[in-house]
Amino acid sequence: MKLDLDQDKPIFIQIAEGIEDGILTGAFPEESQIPSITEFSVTYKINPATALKGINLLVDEGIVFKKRGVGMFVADGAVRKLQKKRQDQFYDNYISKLVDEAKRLGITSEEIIAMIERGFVQ
Amino acid sequence: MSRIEVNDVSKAFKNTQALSHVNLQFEEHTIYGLLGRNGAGKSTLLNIINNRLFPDSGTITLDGCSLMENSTALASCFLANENNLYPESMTVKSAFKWSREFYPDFDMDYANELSRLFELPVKKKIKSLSTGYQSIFRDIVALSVNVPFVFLDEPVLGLDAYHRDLFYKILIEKYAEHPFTAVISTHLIEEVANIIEQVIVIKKGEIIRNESLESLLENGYCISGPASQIDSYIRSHDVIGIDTLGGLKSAYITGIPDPDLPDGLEISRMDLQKLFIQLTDTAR
Amino acid sequence: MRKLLKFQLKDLIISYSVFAGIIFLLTICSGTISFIYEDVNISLNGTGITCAIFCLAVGIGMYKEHCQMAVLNSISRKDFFKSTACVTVIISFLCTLLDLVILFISQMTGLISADSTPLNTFSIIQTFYPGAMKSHPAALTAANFLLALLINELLFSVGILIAGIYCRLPKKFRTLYCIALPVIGLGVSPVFLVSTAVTSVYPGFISRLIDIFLAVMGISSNNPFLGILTLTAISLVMAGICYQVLRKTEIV
Repeated sequence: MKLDLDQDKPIFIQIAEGIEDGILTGAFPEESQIPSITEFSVTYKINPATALKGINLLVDEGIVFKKRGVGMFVADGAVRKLQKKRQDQFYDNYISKLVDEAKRLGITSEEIIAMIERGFVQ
Repeated sequence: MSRIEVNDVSKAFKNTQALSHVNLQFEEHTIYGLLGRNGAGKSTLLNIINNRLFPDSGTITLDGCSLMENSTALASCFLANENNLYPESMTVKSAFKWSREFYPDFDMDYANELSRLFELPVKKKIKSLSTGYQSIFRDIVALSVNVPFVFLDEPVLGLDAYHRDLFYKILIEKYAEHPFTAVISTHLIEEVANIIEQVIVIKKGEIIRNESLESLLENGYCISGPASQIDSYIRSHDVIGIDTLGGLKSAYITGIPDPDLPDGLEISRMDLQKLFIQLTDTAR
Repeated sequence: MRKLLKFQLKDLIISYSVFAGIIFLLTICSGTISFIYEDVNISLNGTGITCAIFCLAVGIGMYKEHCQMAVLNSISRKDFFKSTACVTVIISFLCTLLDLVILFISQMTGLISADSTPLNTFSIIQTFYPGAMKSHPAALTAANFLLALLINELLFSVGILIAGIYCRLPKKFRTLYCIALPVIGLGVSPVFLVSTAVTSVYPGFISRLIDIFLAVMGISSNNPFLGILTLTAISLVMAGICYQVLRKTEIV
């Protein structure tokens, strides 16, 4: 999980998204324990409150849950929840920007579709 | 809830006004960043809070009790700064031993563990340590005393990159497991930017910013683009500073960014170091 | 304050032990030689004055380090003062005791005149209050001991005051102070006082000063207890001055 500390996105959001990526790629399987707040904050040299804020975002969305006295675990069904969330956000996160850039460079929609199909083949 | 209050503190040295009507509060279990340029008054402030210097006016209290000349209240504070006030011939080991005498909650095992991690030679005399290792020694004592308020004046002075990294990690680990209040005075803003929760910026003896890091960075942004467009944009905004490179300009603005930006202008988040440089430019 | 007292005592006991050790060694060596070789005459004097100078030196030497250690470890200057006051009395007492023990040994080994018996040497009383020698030996012992103790303590305070002023001065004046103090204190002042310039302007000034001194110290009336009272009063005043100097000292 890489944190780009110069990015425009606040750190706690990056922490949340990093854990989400880990869940989606299988690095953090469902029902398994994720690193503690202390471990996150020490590894990335951030304030524990920031790490906590990021993790709480996931707790609120039901992606992660806390077991008192033990630690934090990936919830059952988290992968499906995340996929749905990201699918909903896909247009805003990727398509909008892609289309804006394409317009700036004068690439037509047919050319884009051809490129996308090429991408799926490779 | 423990808190330290600095009320209307001023201090002058000969012809310089080192501190001017400083008002601050330090709450418990928070990491503060005390940022300021060289000579801004950071060390003077920390020395005054910890009974090393006397203010010309104003008070410093801990939960209502004055900190000045009050051993009981002062026992809740520890200041680690450049001055080596330990006796000439005292060794690191001996200093740890006496620290435990003066601070009953001093964790000797932790101090020894940290000494091992930093490779600090405990049998050596403090005065014979290099600048870097003197800083490390002070930091280890500061992290081992277990008092509610720890003041660190330039904690990484002279430390190499490896040791700086190790120091921050140890600080965070300690803070995560046993919260306390740390007030870090430093020039290396980029390194502490992600660790501190509250930012205090001091310029020529005056506090110019005292708020949470979040609110400080949320209330500021950087807008860049062609010079003419920037010039017209900033006319209606609060500008902290401007950078020019040929026909391109970048303006640092306070406030919440407009959702609709004119075409050709790019917006980016302000980072703490950039903000600090702009705020403390003495030409303004 | 207790923790600081522990630190200060531990530090000073080491110096004291070295000092006492040297004095002891000298005494025992000289005593043994004098005892064994009947026709060799060794005379050992002035332990009292040596102790007094030791107190002065320690006062000057310990102040800065101890003051810094106190402030560094969140002890107020007030508590440092209280602790130092205790330490001063303790070390002065130990020095006075040392002097007494050395005298005892010296007599046993014949290092000092044969007609004085143990516990019968009241050197201060003999020198300054000869008229009081007729009094009860126990009272004389106590008075002699107290006088010696007070003198040691006073010199300790002088040492602390000298160091205290040094610490209080801004850095740029410190070198000047280090040079000026001994020159003016020990050199210029005495010469000045007895010079014709002063005696011509204030005739009898010096003799009047000396008269007052002898009176308050009970020397002119052969009353050691008056001397004890005066020395105690001076000690308290000195302590007050030291505290005033300490109170506003900034440690940087």
